[in-house]
Amino acid sequence: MLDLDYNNLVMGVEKRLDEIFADDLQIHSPQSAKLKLVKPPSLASLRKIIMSLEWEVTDNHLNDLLKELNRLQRAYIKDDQLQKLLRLLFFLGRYIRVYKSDTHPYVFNSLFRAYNGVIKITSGKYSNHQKTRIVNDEIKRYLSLKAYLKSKNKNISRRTLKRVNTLEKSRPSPIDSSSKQKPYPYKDASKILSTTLNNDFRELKKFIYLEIKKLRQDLQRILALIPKKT
Amino acid sequence: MAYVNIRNKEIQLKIVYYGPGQGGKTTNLLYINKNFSEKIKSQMINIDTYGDRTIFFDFFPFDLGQINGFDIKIQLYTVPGQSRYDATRKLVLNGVDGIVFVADMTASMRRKNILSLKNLHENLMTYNKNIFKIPLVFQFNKVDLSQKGYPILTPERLTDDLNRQLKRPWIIASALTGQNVAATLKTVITMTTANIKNNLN
Repeated sequence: MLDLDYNNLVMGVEKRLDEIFADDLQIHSPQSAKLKLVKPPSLASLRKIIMSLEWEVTDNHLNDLLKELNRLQRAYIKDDQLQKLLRLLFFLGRYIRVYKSDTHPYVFNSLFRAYNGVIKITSGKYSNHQKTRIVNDEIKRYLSLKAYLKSKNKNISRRTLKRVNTLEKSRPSPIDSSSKQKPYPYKDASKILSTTLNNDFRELKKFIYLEIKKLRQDLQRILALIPKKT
Repeated sequence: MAYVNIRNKEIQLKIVYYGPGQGGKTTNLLYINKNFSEKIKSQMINIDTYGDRTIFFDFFPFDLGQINGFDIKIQLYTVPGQSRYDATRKLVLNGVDGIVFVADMTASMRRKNILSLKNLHENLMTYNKNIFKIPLVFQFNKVDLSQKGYPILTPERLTDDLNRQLKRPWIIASALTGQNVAATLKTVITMTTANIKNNLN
């Protein structure tokens, strides 16, 4: 038979471990450790803001929307797909900020659709592949909408010009008819995808350039504050 | 299986830290090495690493000293978490007495935790060991991420995913800050010591 008292051995081992890890076990005992568990941030306030925007477009609602989107972008920093949708919501928010009550109703539809996409992605019911599909669909719709709105704005400006011309017949037309661009038809939105992407890319480049410039200025300011060695 | 030498009065226990890649297994050992190496008079040995990734394994032997006339020696091992090193993981599990499953609390790591536990179950089966019988402790690591604002998996979710059937002790920890690293080790060593009797019988 083995000359081994198991119960005493276990107690002895436990006692020895307490001696070795004494300080650490006290510091990190479950009672002393305050565990602050952060659940994924709620989307309730985003929903509230979007609903309020549909009812009435005010500066407060728009500011709230952009703030909330910023908060969510920080909270879901690791979720690439969600980041894309949040950015899309951000663009739509900025558009509404410019056009306010004249915003085309399609923009609000798009806002709701993108919000629904956000809900779907955060629900945890979809696979990564499905999530990518949801986001890509939303981006395609957004680009189509963008193209449509662009063409619509051009049409409106041309109509206004025509009216002005008829009123002031003596004055020559400021725009040469040959240089007029044809509006992009809504159906051919996919054709102008590359153009729109190029424009977005250029905007992004400009933004990055400005940010780097600001950073450089900040750095220079900080460096100027550091006393030089004699 | 635990090595017990009655004539020399020596007991040797092998404990393996298992879990998904970059979950904090090596960080656990590094913390113990940094803070207790003087007390336990030992040093951790890194065997083949690439940057911060374990390619082969980490090995940390130490002595608890004489307890009830027996010299207790503990060997801590980690396995490489990356899926392509399955053969190494299997090799390290040979003769294991106790396991710490280091689960990553990061929200995006949910699937990898489950897959790693499944992998542990399969690898143990190759040595005719049963995951339901071997001393096992779950360490839900990286709780400190929540304070930095990152979404993390709740202990309830992790318990439901990993420990619903096994019903083993689980500890919320942060290997980086050292929170509950020692508590995890203490739990697994105590459980493994208590299991020696079952092993020998």
